[in-house]
Amino acid sequence: MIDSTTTGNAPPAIRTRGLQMSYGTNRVLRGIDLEIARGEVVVLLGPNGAGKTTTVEILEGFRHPSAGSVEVLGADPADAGHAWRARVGIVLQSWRDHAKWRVRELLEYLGGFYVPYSGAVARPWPIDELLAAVGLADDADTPIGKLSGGRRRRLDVASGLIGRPELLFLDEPTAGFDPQARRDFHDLLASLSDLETTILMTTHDLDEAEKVASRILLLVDGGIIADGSPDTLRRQDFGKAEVRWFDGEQHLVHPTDDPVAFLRGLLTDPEATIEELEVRRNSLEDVYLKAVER
Amino acid sequence: MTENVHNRIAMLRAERGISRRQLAEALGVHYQTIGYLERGEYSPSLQLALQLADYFGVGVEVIFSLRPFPRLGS
Repeated sequence: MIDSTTTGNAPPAIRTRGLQMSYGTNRVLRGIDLEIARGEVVVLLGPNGAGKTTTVEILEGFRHPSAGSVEVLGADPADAGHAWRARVGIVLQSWRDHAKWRVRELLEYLGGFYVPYSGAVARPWPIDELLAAVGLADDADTPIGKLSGGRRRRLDVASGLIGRPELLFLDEPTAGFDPQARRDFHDLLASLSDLETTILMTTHDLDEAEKVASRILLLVDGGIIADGSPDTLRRQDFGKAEVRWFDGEQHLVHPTDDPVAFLRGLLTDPEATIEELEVRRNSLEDVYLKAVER
Repeated sequence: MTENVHNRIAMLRAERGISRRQLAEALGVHYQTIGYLERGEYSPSLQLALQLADYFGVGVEVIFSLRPFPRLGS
């Protein structure tokens, strides 16, 4: 996955070695080795209880691992200072404070903390630009308590972005988004990635993971069992293909291990009507469910 | 509209207590495809129809028909 030609000599955004975590006798992480280059959009997938949140919280510096080493943006998150924290953005699952504040007031307040850490990167992100980027331009003066669920979530995302982070952690950022808001958010992630922002995101939406991830990590029982681009993971287990077509009278479906051979046969008949031809392969969801069942 | 082929896949599946996913795995199709087949939105290829009959251990004419199946109990 990590190719020295694409990452050059820049140190990775995240590097862990033998990361372990136990709560009492309960081993939650069983030695995680991980390297995430700058600019990658990594989606961490896994069933509930797999260790996703624990992993992310260690990387954020909120938890100390039982064993192993962690380096995030060149520092150990457990004892990194404010200057380091200013380069990291975090969007938690949800927070429901400040109902009476207006959107702009909250962002201005949060942005104030980043002023001392402005340098090569201008911090904080100018409020109006940020509001436009997350699609909240019309809600600058709306009291937070009056925002709809999806708009409230956009504000959560804006709060994580206000300091123009180099590394952004997102915990299920699109929960409660309608399809349009989700698409807008994916566009936002793509533009952040263009700015070399490294993104580590958890989600349960596999369709979303397939769309936004440059790389997917599949965490099961405290270990990484798959690591690769969405396409690589899909190709590991293509399964049977399903060929579907319309023969002028009915829609037909045929499962086959060798769609190429089947299609050769189907298409050589010059008299046959074949319309709406489609070959369907395993989706990432199918691959995920199989991997998790194992 | 296309000619209708009637089928009793859903009935057989319910009677045998087989889930959509189990049937899909046995036939090598996506589980949503079982729904398409049961609703008659898609017809199986001849091979798939024979596989279905084989799976349930009945003749194809027990599952598929050009005429609507009589209601049970009528």
